[in-house]
Amino acid sequence: MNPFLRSFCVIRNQRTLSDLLRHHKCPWVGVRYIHRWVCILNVEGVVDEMTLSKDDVRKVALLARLELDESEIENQGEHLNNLLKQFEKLQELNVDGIEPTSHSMPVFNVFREDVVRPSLSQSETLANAPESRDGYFIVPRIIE
Amino acid sequence: MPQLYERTVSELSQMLGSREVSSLEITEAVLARIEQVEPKVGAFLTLTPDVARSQAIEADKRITAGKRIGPLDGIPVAIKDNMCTKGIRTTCASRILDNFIPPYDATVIIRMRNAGSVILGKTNMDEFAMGSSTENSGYGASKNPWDVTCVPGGSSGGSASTVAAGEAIAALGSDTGGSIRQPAAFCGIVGLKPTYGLVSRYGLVAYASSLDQIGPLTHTVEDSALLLNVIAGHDPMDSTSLKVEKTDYTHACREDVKGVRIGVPKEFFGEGVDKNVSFLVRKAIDQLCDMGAIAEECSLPSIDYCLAAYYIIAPAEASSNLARFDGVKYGHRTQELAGHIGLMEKTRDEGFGAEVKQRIMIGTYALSAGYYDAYYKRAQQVRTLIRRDFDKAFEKFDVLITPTTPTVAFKIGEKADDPLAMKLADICTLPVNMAGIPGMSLPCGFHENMPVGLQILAKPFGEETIFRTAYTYEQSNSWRNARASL
Repeated sequence: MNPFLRSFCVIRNQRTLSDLLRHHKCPWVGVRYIHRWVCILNVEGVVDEMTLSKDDVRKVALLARLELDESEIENQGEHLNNLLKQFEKLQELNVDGIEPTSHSMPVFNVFREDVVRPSLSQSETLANAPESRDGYFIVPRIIE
Repeated sequence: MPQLYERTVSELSQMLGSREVSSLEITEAVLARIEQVEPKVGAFLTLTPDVARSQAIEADKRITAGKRIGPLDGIPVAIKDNMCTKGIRTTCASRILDNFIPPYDATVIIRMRNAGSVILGKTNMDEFAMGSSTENSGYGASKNPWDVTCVPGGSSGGSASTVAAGEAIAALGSDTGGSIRQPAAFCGIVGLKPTYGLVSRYGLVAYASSLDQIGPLTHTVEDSALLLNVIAGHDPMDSTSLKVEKTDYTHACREDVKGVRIGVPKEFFGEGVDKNVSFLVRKAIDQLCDMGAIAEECSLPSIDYCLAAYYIIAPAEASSNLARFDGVKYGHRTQELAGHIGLMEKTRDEGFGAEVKQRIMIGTYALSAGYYDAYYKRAQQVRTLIRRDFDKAFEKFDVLITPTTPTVAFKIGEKADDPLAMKLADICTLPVNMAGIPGMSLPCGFHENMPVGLQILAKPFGEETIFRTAYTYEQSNSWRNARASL
């Protein structure tokens, strides 16, 4: 590995070279060139590209507000890593300068007059709540 | 003489018009059929016989008074359980919504009610529409009426089963990556995914908002047009609903394909597609050519990347959409004592099934800081390429014809442990949602006694071209009269 790049990885405290690539644009080398390096490193077993550790999976589960037990963490990790491997296929494509499509149809801001319209009543809104009292949703204490 | 429950919407509509039969008689015939075959098929999550009977009686009153609303008045239909029905439990086949009773109707439900249709109940599906077999339901798998050891497809598997089994005359489903067309193909019926924005999504519990679209499942192409007539149209409650002129799609149901240019994208006939399936689809294309259409091979080169891009975009949107299930406003809440974050985590762990959790996880990861550009943005760029491929194809062709699914319906449990094989069941249908274009699956024969479907695609708002082509093909054979024996 280019010693300069390696030191850059360390300085930035990036786990892998691909993390580095995702976080920083490297103007002095083409992405393709670096990817070749990643492949070589993979062969040498130095960098395990696109592999999530159990801790990574726990972090994602926290973001997703899912309490997963140990066996679920294991299964999810395996599943995620399998999917990520499939996603690597997308790196083959050159998408330089291609606009992303978020919606297939050209719909932009849709406005309406700012007037009060009929809506659900308070009792209808609360009717499905697991717990409600005096017109409020009840949640566990948030501020100690 | 076919039984009442085996007939089509247009046949029953004529019979109602001529007072040959009443809506209550039809409804009772269908309810009796449900009682008879539902234990084998398991298509419904909630049955509403009382609602159905009272709606049928109302329809009969209107008909007797000469105030019939239209062709759907008095016709019994089934609704996929991800569309909100006021006062009728709506679960999305998820334990997290086990006790959810919507306080409002989805726009499509209002339109179906206003058209006089009779609501029989809510149908089984893959949990939150995530799946291709209905095996991911929190309430057990539905069965394929043609062979109850096979899946009916998914995610609208329950809706497709009801129609194929004679448990409903027609049904509504939703399609995010093939969830109407794939089960329609597996169950030998007609399924339409309209152009994105043609049918309101208001009140449809969202899976992937930029891909979801509601559409009809029916025995015939004409029935499909009759239902689309009712559910299509601009809705101010859905800001992605488009303002298009009201059309009577039944006018497009005529036998005429002279000069229709058919593109046959070679990517859909390659590796992984059962040769018996592609043979029947090619045969259908040949038949259309005999009737005056012109077919030519074409290519959609970006299709190879569609599966990967879809499995980033759809879960990313799902992870955001499903954040609303927090144990506070509606649905399941954990009984365990926990802080406010623990409450959400435990509630969601208990309420969601394995597949839903997996998709939330991958979506959350793909959207998380540092990975957005590498996954989500790149997938959206690929989406642009897919859309461009279709745009280019439709410069030259009026319709594209492909197989709907690579194989006929597979056995229950066969692909449960192989997520990639399961996802490949949608390989022919996914690109259509990515591009937002309309697509219809209709029967084109049988392989080993299981139905095979072909898919007709058109440019955005090209539904009429689809109806015309599909109707012409349908009238040239008798697949539409085939009924599963249960």
